[in-house]
Amino acid sequence: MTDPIYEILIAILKAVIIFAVLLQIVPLLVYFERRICAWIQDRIGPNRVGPVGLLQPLADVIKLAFKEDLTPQGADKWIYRLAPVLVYAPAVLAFTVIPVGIDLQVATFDIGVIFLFTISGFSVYGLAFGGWASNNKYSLLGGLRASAQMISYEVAMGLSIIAILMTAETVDLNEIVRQQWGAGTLGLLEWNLFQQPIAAVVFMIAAFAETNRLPFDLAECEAELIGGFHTEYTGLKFATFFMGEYVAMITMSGLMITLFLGGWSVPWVEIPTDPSIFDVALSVGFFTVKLFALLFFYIWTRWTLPRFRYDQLMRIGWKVFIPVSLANIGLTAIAGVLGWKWLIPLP
Amino acid sequence: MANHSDASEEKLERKTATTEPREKATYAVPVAKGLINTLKHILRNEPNTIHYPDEKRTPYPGYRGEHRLKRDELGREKCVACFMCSTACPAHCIEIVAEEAPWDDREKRPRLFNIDMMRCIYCGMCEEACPCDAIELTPVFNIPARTRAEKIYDKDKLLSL
Amino acid sequence: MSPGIEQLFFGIAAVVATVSSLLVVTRRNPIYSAMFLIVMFAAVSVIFMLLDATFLGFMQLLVYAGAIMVLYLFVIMLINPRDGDLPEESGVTEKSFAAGVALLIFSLLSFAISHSNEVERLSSLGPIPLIPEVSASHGTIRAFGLELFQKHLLVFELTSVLVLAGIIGAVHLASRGRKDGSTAPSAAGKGLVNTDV
Repeated sequence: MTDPIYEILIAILKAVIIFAVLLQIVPLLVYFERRICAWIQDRIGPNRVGPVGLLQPLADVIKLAFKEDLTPQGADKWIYRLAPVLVYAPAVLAFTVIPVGIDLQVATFDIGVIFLFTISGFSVYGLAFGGWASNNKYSLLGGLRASAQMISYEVAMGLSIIAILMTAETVDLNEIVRQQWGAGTLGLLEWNLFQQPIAAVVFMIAAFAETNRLPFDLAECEAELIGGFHTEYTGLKFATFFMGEYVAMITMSGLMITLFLGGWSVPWVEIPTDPSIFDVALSVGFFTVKLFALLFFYIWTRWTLPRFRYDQLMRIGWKVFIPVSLANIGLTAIAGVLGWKWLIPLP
Repeated sequence: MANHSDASEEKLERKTATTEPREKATYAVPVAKGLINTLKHILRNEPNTIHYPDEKRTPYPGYRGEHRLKRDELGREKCVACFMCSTACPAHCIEIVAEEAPWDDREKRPRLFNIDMMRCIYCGMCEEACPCDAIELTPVFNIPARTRAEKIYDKDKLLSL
Repeated sequence: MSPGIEQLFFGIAAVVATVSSLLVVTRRNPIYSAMFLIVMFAAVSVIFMLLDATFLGFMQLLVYAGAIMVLYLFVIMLINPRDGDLPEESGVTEKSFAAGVALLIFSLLSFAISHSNEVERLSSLGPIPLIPEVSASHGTIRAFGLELFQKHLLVFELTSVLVLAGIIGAVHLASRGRKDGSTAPSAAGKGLVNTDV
């Protein structure tokens, strides 16, 4: 079992399966997004291609692949080509450390949270470079907004994570998940969502801003910026941007589940020390259910709320979320030193 | 003049000063209300969509679709080429060339009566203006054409509709 | 990781870091400079990680490549330099001055390094092993935190005073041109004309 070749094969297998599944979720998510938004607006949504319209994403992909691939005049060719990859690659890379089942992740890192947080922040370069390289004033404005928004909300997000790390006393994602497992009828209360509600809310909203989803999609903002950074992109380059955004959404949801919603741990079912295939499958299934619930929440919010104005975005970022998460850190620190077990989970 | 502009500027400044900082960032309640509202729509799931080519909607009475020209009881066109409709038309899409009528009860009849359907805005002004009740808007809205020329309806086509 | 692979990675990271830092100063378009600076930070963080300082490596990425460079990029994009707007290549005087400053700093540094007793101390330890033995806690967040908040607490706090000074300066600059110190934004253009505080 400790044969290195065997281990490498297992690692490759895990990587291939998790990425294959991850990339299959994206078209499914696009389909769900279109159907759910249709239901919210009392419409039906795509229902013509394939059974109940399930093949619609495939038709979209074929359409995008055959579109003309344009590069605008005066665009910086190399950066223009690089930008979609810079959005897509970090989102996929960040997913590698998210444990989707009992100790099941592509890359085992002892500082998983920091890795994920670092890598997912890199996608802003794709937006900024893409916006600049397009040689279009709307794209440039979109890129500018993306970078300013990303810096602001990354701070709030990092601070909200710090409160979690303080109580968990570790940055190992699997360990954080284990700590959130609880027995008995109130097992769910061990989730950090209930233990650290302020951090959870700040993280959730910052995640919306980080993934450029409504109500914070000011980098795209089709009403004023005609699509923002991706105005000039067509065909598969646009598709790469699009995919990158959806993968980032999945990654952020995965991080949210791991940090706040108990990750892969199934409440009331003891975490086995030597898990069988069945145990792993159960944990993966539970993770998937929560992932889709959270993705539904993303879509639901998107089609409910209007877009924030840019000054509102900046004001609530700097004047509300950052002070609130700082206060939360202070509260957690005081509670930790004084040993208030009723307020925060202490080891 | 200078005083006036100063005053208006001051007014503007006072206005922004009173509205901006008081805007509190308490978005939580409206956000929750909105989410509940949209969730209701998802759960109710009563789409208003009509599956168009499969189901067809019957237009409401008074729906203004494409035009037709009427005939009288003797089978002659009612139109007397008075040009009232083409005068009333805001889109200038009605083209009439008159000729002498072979009948005793009227002086003229149209030799040419063309309506450019691509230009028409379906306002119904022609119908209002017509003194002889000769032109009418039907509920028909879905006659396709492959060229623009096909959408210029001449007298025969308008009479046959 | 075997020494061979580690050396290979170090070689790649070192070459990438050197080449990209050269490109940072030679590219005329500041966007390219910023891009290669990000590459340089990434290569340096790889070197940190090879030294078993994984946390430090990621902090390098997170703070410099992830946050500070975004800010730089924001400013560059705000100015939005296009090829036509770039200033003329600097003349011989500026270039020779820059070369002189660089030479001065280099000689100062090499003098300081060759005359410190660190070289003697290291050479007295005998040949440096390819992979030095480090304790298990080396480079972890715990070791990092203990070092920073116990041994170097004073320096850490002094740094925070520096940051505070920066914040006060920024707030001061931002509130310039407001007559009554109210929080309302002044009318457009006034902030540029009125410089009295």
